[in-house]
Amino acid sequence: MNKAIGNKVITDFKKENRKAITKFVILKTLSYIFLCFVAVMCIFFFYLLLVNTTKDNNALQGGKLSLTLSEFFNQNLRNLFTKFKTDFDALKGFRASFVIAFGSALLTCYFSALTAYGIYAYDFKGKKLMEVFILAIMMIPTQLASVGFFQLASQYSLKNRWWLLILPSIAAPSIFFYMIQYLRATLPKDLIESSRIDGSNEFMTFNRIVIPIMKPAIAVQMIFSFVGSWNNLYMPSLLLSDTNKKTLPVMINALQHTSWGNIDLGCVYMAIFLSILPVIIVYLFLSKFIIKGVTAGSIKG
Amino acid sequence: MADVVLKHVEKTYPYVEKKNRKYKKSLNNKAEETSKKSNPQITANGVLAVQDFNIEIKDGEFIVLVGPSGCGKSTTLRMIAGLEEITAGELFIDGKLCNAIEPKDRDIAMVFQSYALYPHMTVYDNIAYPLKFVKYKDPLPDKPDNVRHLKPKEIEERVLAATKLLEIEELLDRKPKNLSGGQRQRVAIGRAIVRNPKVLLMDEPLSNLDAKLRNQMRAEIINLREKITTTFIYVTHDQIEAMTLGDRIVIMKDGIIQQIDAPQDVYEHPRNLFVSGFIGSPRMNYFDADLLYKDGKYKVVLENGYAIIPCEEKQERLRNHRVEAQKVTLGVRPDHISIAEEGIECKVHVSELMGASSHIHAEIIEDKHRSSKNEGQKDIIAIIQNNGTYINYVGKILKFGFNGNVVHLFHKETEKNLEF
Amino acid sequence: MKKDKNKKSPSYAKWGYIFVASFFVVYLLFTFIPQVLTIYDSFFDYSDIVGTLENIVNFCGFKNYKMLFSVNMRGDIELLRCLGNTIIIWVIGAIPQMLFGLLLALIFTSTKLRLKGQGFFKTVFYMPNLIMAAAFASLILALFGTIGPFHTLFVENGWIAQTFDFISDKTWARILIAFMNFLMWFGNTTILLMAGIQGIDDSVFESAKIDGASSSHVLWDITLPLLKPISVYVLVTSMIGGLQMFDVAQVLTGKAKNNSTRTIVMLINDYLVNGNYGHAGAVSVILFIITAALSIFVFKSINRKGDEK
Repeated sequence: MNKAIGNKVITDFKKENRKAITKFVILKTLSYIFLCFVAVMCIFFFYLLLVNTTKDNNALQGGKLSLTLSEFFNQNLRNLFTKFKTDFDALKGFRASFVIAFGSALLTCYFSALTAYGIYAYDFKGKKLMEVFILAIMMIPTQLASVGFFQLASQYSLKNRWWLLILPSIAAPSIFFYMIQYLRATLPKDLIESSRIDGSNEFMTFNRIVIPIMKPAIAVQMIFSFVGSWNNLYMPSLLLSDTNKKTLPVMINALQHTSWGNIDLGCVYMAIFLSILPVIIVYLFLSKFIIKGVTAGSIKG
Repeated sequence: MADVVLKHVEKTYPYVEKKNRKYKKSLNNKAEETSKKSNPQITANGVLAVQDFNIEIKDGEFIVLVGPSGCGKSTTLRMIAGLEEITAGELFIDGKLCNAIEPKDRDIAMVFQSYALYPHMTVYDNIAYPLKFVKYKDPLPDKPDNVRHLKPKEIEERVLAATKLLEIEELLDRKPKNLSGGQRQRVAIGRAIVRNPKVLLMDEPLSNLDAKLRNQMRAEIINLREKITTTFIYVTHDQIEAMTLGDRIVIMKDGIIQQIDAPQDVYEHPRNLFVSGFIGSPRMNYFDADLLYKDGKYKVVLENGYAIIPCEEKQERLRNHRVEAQKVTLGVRPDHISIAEEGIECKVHVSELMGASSHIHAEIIEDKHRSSKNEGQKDIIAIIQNNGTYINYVGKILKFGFNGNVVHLFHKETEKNLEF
Repeated sequence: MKKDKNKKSPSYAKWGYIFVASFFVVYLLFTFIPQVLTIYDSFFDYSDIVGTLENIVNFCGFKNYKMLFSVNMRGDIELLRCLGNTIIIWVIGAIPQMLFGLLLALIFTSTKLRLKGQGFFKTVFYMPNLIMAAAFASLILALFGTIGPFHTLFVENGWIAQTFDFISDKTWARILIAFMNFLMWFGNTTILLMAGIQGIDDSVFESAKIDGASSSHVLWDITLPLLKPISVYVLVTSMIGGLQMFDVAQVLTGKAKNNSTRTIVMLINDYLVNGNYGHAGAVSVILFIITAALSIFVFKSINRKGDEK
């Protein structure tokens, strides 16, 4: 073991150190440049969007690319809500999107927590099977149900009903999965026992004790659900044809169908801008929280 | 195969700057508060983890750094390895200043507490990995400065030699997840020694093993030491490991070296109260006493009047240091206390049969003997040899005494051993 | 001595059923029955009654499926074309998505570089994920369409002809969609890969440092091999999502009748809007089979990961 093959080579320390330091500085600078480049890539189009909401239609129809802000923001805003209403009813769209998104988020979080609690806290026949079943159906794409769903909605003249888009969110397997993992990590079963001893009935226990404990998980999922529903195009575009009932994505989709030569482009950009604004505002306040939530559910162990 | 020298090495962890001003303010208040509580480790710049560390480790020595959690031993080891920056002071390996040298250029190897095996590689690949980077001088007739990497055959030879030494040849194709704790330990050691490093660093390698395996591995490390002539630097919190493995042990507390000596010397001549209490199990007994000097002779008198005259060696040392008469803390190890005619009167309340000996816990009668150092310990702990017959002393009132060869005198405030 | 029945502790099992009932009832009504109906529809001939007022359909066995796999008037198989479009667009977007994700994850987790402002960059990189795809696509449509500023800019510089249209060009439309997909998902990939890197024990990296590995060796020998499992997970889940591509492609090119960007779900959507439930159902079933196979693969690979710990 101690027989040396030859003399080991010790590197020239001083020279190596200098090389290492310059390499380090170059690497760090390049990294910053790269990060800035990617950041610009992310923000660029949305900056352009903002710039274009401040320009009037004539400037925009001219088609030149400009990065400077103009003064037409308020005018475009006003026109959107008055003259542009026939192409894009912002107020109605917001109302529709908000009701559906908020309703879905609320229902999905509450009932997923409820179902997860049911499986976690109680022992009953078929419990294991049910859990495995819910996990299994996570693998089925939503499009498989959409054909039948649409057909039934048409058949029973139930199109243009918001509750048809809100109610199904009660059964959300992936949110269930997130909730039950959270329960397993944070809720000791003795808490349930002691609550029973204190005289609370099962629903009271769930609402008064378990829900507060699950607040962080619920908060994260409320955000993700809300955003997901707010941004959703597929199902709403199939079901909502009445302009009074359309959500924002559906309206935006319809915008491209009009011939853009005759339209007030300032209002178009304003419409797009307003549609994404709520989510951006929520995100800017809660970004750290949201980013943490991304890994919390997906990586196990 | 190299000596390691540390001169005035220091490590400070700076406070992390927080954007929130409020946090900075509270941190300053905290700093003031704790410095009032005389925690020497919190400074204005940050937390002082290691302070003024000096040692000269000879080539081939086995040095053990030992101390309670947070004493800075792992930090020191990591500074030697190059995994932590040295805030101040100098580190020399084989005579060369190594403060700014990358770990890979220091020609050292390290065994981690968690073994740190590469989970996706087999045992063979784990052990062979460091050999990929070894460069050897291989003078050719036309290129006297030729330098090359090891050939695959050479790598194989060395890996097989290492695994044979550690008796893990059958495991070469397995992945770490299929190995037991002891096997992983051996693979980690194999990976460390395969390169013939100048210094072998070990960071609490036995802490994750169960007691039986720990004893076994301890013996194997001693075995290994005989076959390899590398310098070993070993970190542990277990004083038994320190005493059995080290040529010299370094006892640390709160970042400061308390004593560096051979195990026997640490045991027999602890430099301060902390060392005396840390080494040796069960713990040393402490008493409040008066050190008197009359007619050229020192005498220690306990509060009940029991007097001991230190032996001649100790007398000389005390005289050399011109120690004055004062109140002291007297320390005596349990194995040095015996049942005597004259001594401290106690009532035995626990008698543990340990086999060849018994551990007696006896409560001192008359509270005046209680030492302020033992807030909870109103007992004397003594180890009595059974000599074949076990006597149950529980309930009996006995006198325990000791002689002047085994007393340790510590300054009441500084806690230093007065003999040194 | 028989056990006194009254001494049995109260069973709360029935509450379990009560609590989970809502899920299963809603699932049955709004998901399961429609799913069954979709599959059922796929075996009936609706193409005959499209555009008519008739609503009696005939059972036609696998005729719909055969139709989908047969060559149409233009000389190709529409189903396979859509499948091909979907996969090609996904691949064009997934490559930069994985590369950028990996590179950014390495930069963010590097102990050597210790860059400042990571929080800011992460926030910016993740933002596109939350942007309404329809809005984003609409924006790109406005910017790159024939009256858009980019079009004007490129024409002025002589890079393209006046008559060139990004949106209806076969290659450029795909690139635009793929670019949008990339922008929307690379932040997510970065976060997940970062978690993967941070899951590797620090001491493994330290050990490699001491063993003599340079940074590039550490990257190739240790980091990348250990990231393989999570990279596979990210890639396959991205593929599953990619197969369901709709919003961006529909808004950007739905009306342009650009055959190179029609995705599978766009195909289903077109059949649905026309009332051709038979074909819509059949395509949905085919999509389901492919997606299910990929999901099972992910599920199995996760379990294998669990064993390795």
